Parts: sequence; C-alpha cells; structure tokens
Amino acid sequence: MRRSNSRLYAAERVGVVALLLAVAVSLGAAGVAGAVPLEPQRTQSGSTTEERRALREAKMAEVAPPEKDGVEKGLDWLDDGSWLPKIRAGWHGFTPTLGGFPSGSGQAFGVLWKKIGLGTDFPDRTTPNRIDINAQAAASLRGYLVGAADFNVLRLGDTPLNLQVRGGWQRNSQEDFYGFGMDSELENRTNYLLEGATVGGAVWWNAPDWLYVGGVVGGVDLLVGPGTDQRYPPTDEIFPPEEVPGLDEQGRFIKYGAFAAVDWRNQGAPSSGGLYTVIYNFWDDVDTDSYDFGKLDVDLQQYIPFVMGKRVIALRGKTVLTFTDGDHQVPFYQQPLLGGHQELRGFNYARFTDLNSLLLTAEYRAEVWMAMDMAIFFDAGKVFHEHSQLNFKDLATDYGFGFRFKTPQSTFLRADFVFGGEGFHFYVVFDDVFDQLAVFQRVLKNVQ
Amino acid sequence: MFSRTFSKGLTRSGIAALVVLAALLTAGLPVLAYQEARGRFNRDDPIWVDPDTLDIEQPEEYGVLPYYDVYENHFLDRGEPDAGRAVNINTLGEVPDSSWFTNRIGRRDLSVDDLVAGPNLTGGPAPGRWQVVGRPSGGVTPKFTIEDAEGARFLVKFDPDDNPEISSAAEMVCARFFWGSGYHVAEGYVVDVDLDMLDIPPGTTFKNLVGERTEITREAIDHWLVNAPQKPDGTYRALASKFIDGQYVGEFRFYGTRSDDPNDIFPHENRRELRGYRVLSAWLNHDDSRALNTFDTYVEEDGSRFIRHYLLDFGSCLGSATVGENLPRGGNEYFLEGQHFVKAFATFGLWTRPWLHAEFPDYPAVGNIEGDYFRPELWKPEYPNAAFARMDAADAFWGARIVSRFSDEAIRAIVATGQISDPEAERYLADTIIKRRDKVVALWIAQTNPLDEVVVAGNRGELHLSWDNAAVRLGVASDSASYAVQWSTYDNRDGSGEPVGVEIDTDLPRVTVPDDAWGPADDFGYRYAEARISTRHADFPHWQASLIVTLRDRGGEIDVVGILRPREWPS
Repeated sequence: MRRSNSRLYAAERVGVVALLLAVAVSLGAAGVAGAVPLEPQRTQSGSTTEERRALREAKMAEVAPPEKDGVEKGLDWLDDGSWLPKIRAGWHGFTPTLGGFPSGSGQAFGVLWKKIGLGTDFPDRTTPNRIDINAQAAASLRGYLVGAADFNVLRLGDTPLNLQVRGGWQRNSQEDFYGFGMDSELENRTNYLLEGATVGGAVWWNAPDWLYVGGVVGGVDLLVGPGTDQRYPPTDEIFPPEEVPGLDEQGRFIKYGAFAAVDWRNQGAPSSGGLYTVIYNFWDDVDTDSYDFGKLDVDLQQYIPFVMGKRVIALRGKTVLTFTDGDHQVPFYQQPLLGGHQELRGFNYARFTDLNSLLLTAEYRAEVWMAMDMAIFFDAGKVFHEHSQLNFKDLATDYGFGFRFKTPQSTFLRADFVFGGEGFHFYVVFDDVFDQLAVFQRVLKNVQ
Repeated sequence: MFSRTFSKGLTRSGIAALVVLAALLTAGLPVLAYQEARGRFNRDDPIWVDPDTLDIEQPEEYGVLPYYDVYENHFLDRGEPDAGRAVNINTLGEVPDSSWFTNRIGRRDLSVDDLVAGPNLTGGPAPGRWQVVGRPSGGVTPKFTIEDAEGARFLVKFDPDDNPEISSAAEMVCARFFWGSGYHVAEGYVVDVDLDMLDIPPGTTFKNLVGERTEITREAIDHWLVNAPQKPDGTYRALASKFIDGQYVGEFRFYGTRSDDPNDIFPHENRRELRGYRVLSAWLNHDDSRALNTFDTYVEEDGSRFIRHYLLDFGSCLGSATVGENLPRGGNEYFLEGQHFVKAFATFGLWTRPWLHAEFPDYPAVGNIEGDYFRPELWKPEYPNAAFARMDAADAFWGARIVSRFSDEAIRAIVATGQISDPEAERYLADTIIKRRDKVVALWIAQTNPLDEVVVAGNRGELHLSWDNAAVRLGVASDSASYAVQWSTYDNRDGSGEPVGVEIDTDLPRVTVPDDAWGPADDFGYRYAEARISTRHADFPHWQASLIVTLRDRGGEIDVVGILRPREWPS
C-alpha cells in the first residue's frame, strides 16, 4: 500500500524532524537545516493555504541568523580578507619561494619580490613599455645562496620587441663532479664550489605569439673552490687539475649569442603542440684567452595527444654541443651535464659531464583525475667528446613511473620513481620534467 | 484484492502526531492543527499559489562561498537522509507558484514569441551613453557594471577570445529555457559595446583581487577586455544582464532552509522544482547548476517584503564554460569521483572514462555539447547536489513533462536568440538540444506510471474519468497500453475507504465513475471517490504501480483534487 506507507513515513518524519527542530531551538541553534516540516493536506482550518501561512508565522517567531560551521567561518575569514589572493600576490610584492637550486642542494627557502607593470595599474600582455622587475634571494640547507634581479621592458614602443637585463650572484656550495665521459666512475664522486657574479641581457622579438627570435649578451665572473660536502672529497683531490679544464684557473667571460624558438604548446600543463628551441652562445674568456668556446643548445619537445588530450605521448630530444678553436678548452663547469630530476633521472645529478650531450625522453601520461596525471617514462642519454659521436649508440637508460599534480595553469608537483639507472631514484619536485621555463627565461638561464 | 490499511496507518500517524505535538510544545511554537488531522484534502486544494510572500524583516546577507560549496557538497551529507516525496507540491503533484517558481509552459498559454522574449521586459539598456559604475569581484568573465541613460543597471559580461559568442549565446538561450520552465531568471540582452559610449564618473571604484578599492579608469576597462574578442567595427559583443530588483541577501543552497527566512519552510532538497531542476539541467548541460549560481533578493511587492529566489548565470550552460568551451568532463563526472579515479589509477590510465569517446563538433560559438553519447541518467553537475540526489521518479516525470512542452519550433526560435553568427553552428545547437530533449523525455517520462491530463467530465450518474498516456503521446512507448482501474470510496475525515466493485480492465483511457464510489461527506460537505489506475504495457512493467486519482464532489461541482504518482524508480 504505497500511499499509506509513504504517508506514514511522512508523518513519522514530521515527528522526528520536528523533535530535532525543537531540540535545536531549545539549544538556541538554528541554521540552514532548521526547517519546519509540513504535511500540507492536514489542517484544522481546512485550508492548505492557511496551514502553510500558519507554519510561516510560527517560524517568524523563531528567526535566527544562519549558523556557520568552523570550516565555513574560516573560509569566510579568508574571503573577507582576500587572503588567498593576497598570499598569491604577495605582501607588497614579496612572496616566499621554495627550490630553485640544482638537485642535491637541499631544501631551499627564499623570498621573491616582483613588480609587474611598474607605473601602470593594469598591466597585461598588451601594455606597451611594460616594466617588470623581479628580485630574489634564497638559501638552501646545504649552503647554496643566490641573489638576483631582473629588469624587463616588454613591448617596447608598443612593438613585439622585449628587453631584459639581469644581474646576480650565486654560490653553489657543493656541485658534483664524477669525471668526464660515460665511463666515469660513480665512486669518483667529488664536489666543488662554484661561485659567480653574472650580468646579462636579452632582446627578443615575439610575433606572432608562437615565435621568439632574439639575441643575448652577458658577462660572468666565476670562482671554483673546494666543495663543502664532507661526504665526498673535493674535486682537485681526485682529479688532477691538468685533466680538468678550469679547475685551478677561472676567468671572466663575455658571452653573446642568438636564439630562436617556436612554441605552439597549449596553455597550462602541455598536452599538445611543441616547443622547439635553438640557442647559440659564444663565450669569450677575457682574462686568460684559454677558454673561448661556443655552445649550441637544441631542445625539441613534442606533445602528441589522444583520447581528447587525456592521454599524451610527450617526447623530448635535447642536445648540447660545444665548439672550440685551437687550444681553447671548455671549462668543466660549463660542459653539458646529464643526470638528476629532469635529465636522465636514473642517475645522480651531474653524473655525466663532457663536451657534448644527448638526451632523449619519452613519457606516456594519462590523466587519472582532472588535477593528476600518471606517467610511464623512459630516458636515454649520453655525454660524448666528439661531435661525430652524436648518434644513438651507447646510451645510458632508465625508466620509471610517476605522478604529476597540475592546475589549469601548470604542473606544480611531480613525484617520479626511477629504475634501471644507477640504483633506484625517487624525486618529489615542484616542476615539470620538461623544463617549462618561458623561452626568454630559458635563454637567460643559458647565459648565466 | 485491494484492501486498505490506512486505519493502521492512522494509529502510527497518531503516534507521530503526538511526537510532533510534544516537539512543538518543547520548542515553544504554536500548536499547529495537523495533530488532529482527519483527512487528506483541504477545501482549497489543489492550491496553485504557495503563500510564501509573508512580510518579513530583511535578513542578513548569507552568501555561498565557492570553496565551501564544493567542500560541503562533496564531503558532507547535506539534506535529509531519506527525503521521501517532494513536500511543496499541491495535491495534483504540481508545484504551486511561489517566490521560487512560476508555472509557465504547459500551465499558461505561451507562444513561441513569449518564450523568445522570456524574462525580458525592458528591452535592454536604453539608447545613449553608459556610466560605468562598478565591477563585481566574483566570477571569471571580463565584466563591469553600467548604468544606462535611464538609470537602469546592467552587468555587462564579455565572451572569451577563443570562443566569440559562446558565453553570451549560452546565457541567452538557457535563460529562456529556464524562464519558460518556470524559474525566475534575470533579463539578458546581447549588446555591442562601443568603448567610446562609456563614461566613468570620477571616484568610481571596484574591489581588486586583493580586496583593495581601486579606481576604475579607461585603462582598467582596456585591461579587462584584453582577452575579449573585438569585432571588425571595433565594438565588443557582450551580454547585458539586468540587475535583479531588490536587495541581494545571498544565494540559496540546495538543502535545508534559511533559518532567518520565515517563508522558507520546505527543505530545499525536498522542493520539486529543485529536484526536477536536474532534468532541465541535464537537458541543457547546465553542469554549473549549483548554489553559487543562484540569487536571493529581498523585494517588496504589494506591500509585502520577502525573499525571491533566482537562477543566475548560465554562461556555463550547453557547450560553454564561460571562459571557453566546456570540458568534456562537464556533465559527465563530478570534480571528485573516487570510482573513476580508482579505475584509472589502478589501470595506469589504460581504462578510459566512457565519456572520453563522445565526439564534439568544431563550432567555437557552441563548444562541447552533443546529443549522441548523452545519457540523461548518467548526467552530473560539477559536484553533488542534495536536491538532484533526491529526485524520484515523480519529480523526474514532472521535469520531463516540462521539457517535452518545448516544441522544435520553440527550441529553434530560442536558440536564435543566442545570435550565433555561424548558421551551421546555430543549426547544430538547435538539433542537439532537440536530440537531448527527446532523450530526456524518453527516459524520465517513462520511469513511473505516465498518465496525465486526468479529467473528469459529465454529471453525477454519467461521469467519466479520462486520462492520457504521456509516454504514448510523446512517442516514447507504443500505443499498446491497457489499463486496470479499481474504484473505492474515500472518507476525507479519516482517510479510510472501501473498494467498490471489481477491477475494471480497459484498453481505452476512459472509465465511468460508479455512483457508489463516493464516500461520505466531510466537514465541508464534500464527497470523494478514488481510482487506482494501473497501466499495463509489455515494455514497461513498472507502470503497473497505480496512479491514485481522487475526485471531489462539491455539491455537484466535480473535479480532480488529487493525483498521487508512484515515486519509486523501476528496479
């Protein structure tokens, strides 16, 4: 007897809910759940309209402001004070930072001050002569230090021309060096200190949106010394200085070069398109005239989406080639590296060093949730001495799986479990495995 | 054999009524009448207006916080656990007009022109210059507030750069469908904004992202529109949404009631128009159908001040996500859905969500909406909704009937109000809405005994009860249904009754009302008869659950006073 039962149920529900209401009212607690239940068809007045009106009049005597639970109150406080946007925007432009140093530097903490669009209240990508300033200071638990600032003028004269000037000082207290080539021994791990002041600038043209063409110039004053990591010997204890160019003799460099990039990746964590970057810089040793060299950096990234972009094959090929004339050499600390959380992940950071490098990476990424990808990956790479060795022979390899946490804007956290290299490696890092720096940042990083 | 057990039920009802009495006494509330209830129907049933416009004090603003709305609807069990039948309906199962809802299509004569006009009464911003008077801090679209030459205020919202027209078209189209369905919505107009027609009164400010008051300048407007598509003539297409009259007092939740609104006595999750809103939302892919997109306003009408409830912001309707195309997930999966996550996680992404195989057209002004993969029963909003979760078969039938009333002609005319410049895209959108309408109706009209248009005609002695089969009429089922009708008397004083005669089998949707089916007169002198109509159809065995129709005789004036539709979903 469906109707009877449903009416019974309704009547009982009326009782239970009303009892709860009574208790709630007695306790002075009245929130959004404080409903006066109703059985519309039953009334002494014989009028449903009157009955509903009576219930409303009864509730009128018991009106109370809605009650909020602790979570809602907390969020209300955040909302009222606009605290989340303020945290994102920073306090007077200051925001805390994490990371920013090479692998093995230990947890880093820092402060970034930024001013976007100096002199304008509403800067955006079309603002002519937009001036952006960034200044950063950071330190890591293992003694890495950095202080840097950059000054940018974007859309000079309302054209696609952009300018950046950058200066800074950095102290990497315990960089690793294992010797040159793929035959270097893991047991020969040493460390050295690399300290230097840099100044540089770049000018680039960005039109259409996907094309970047520009030039760079800069100067570096570097110092190499014993590393501070007591677990491993200083580099000069294991490797004779005459076998390691630049170990006992550092100079100042003037650098200049050019670059071009095509970037047609989709916005946010990339799932389609590609980024192709070519950068060439020449380093002129102005003190000893021993270390003049050129460096060509070719980085190709391609994203192949399928299943509506929820599955992606991400491919990367990168090579760095150096060029010298006559007796000139490339300082060991300027030679390409492989190993670490972004390049050949199954090996320690800077595990391999030589005049040239080749890196190949393939990832299959599957979105398991809108904010999370899982990935299976394979890395292969090598460093090599002669350009003629630029081939796919004798590659070191690794493989693994990982998780990427992302927002619509970017991948902000990554965990990778890596096998097949020199032992198991596990990384939790705040970045994308394929360096996602903006193109001009990439260029400036290369200058530095 | 039919037998009535209501007397036993009354005993239990009596117990329940005592609990009610005790509870109300404890609470200090007036003793209400229904503990002495003796019957089902009141003399003014069925009511078509719910008197929820009693004069009340202005409540404090109680807005919905976006993060909290996501949190509480995902993780807290909002609403009554087993809500039962919708409670705000009249005795015919219909939703009376109220501060929430106004019966329109199907209840009133609405022409296609009426539907096209929808909520629009004023004609949009008056000709002349516009004063920019502010900018809301919430939402994701480029927008600002203007006052037209006659002092009327509009929120002007712009489309995204990659999808010109998509958001404004979705707003125009969906607002008309929801208005026609009976919900309260704001007036909206597609306008072309020439920035030279804007004036900015000195000292006009807005609250920026970090909560600081900042002066609105022409530079600010240029900044807001940096990602808005500009037309060849230099103007910007936008949607001008007229400010709703009254004082904003928050948004309504899809559960509970406002403790500071005496007119709000029905738990929202048990309001039929909010449960049935799921049907409409599925049809129109309004996956943004959440508390955040509602609007409560304190208004004064006819000397009474009360809260009126609106649906607001349809920019994320159809294939639009306001700032671009809707994600394919939209309408298919909640933000957080553990089952899908676990499957994808456990198989390392080899298992793909079924909706990833849907195919969407490449119409930037339309976005991601389609009608081939669409399965109404699987449709979901962005996150759980307490009212949607409690929708029963009777609520769904109510919603599906409304949807079915939008003809192809009306749909095409309403879609045209979106002013999509690509005729192919416009045609695709209308075709898709028609296709989705047919699917929605086919599913939800047939989940319960689908008899409607119940009419009693004739005089005592020669009375006929007739009905229509909505599923057959709408082409959902073949015309092969037959009916079994059991008459009984009905005593409105105590709800009791006795069966009359034997069950009548008929292939026709029409039976004679037996003279002896009329029960004793109640306190008002009215007499009642009851028919339980079971529908037999080979393809829909669950239609055998009876529709209970109650007739009333008011001194020779006979009408249908009650329709109780089975609410259980078919097993």
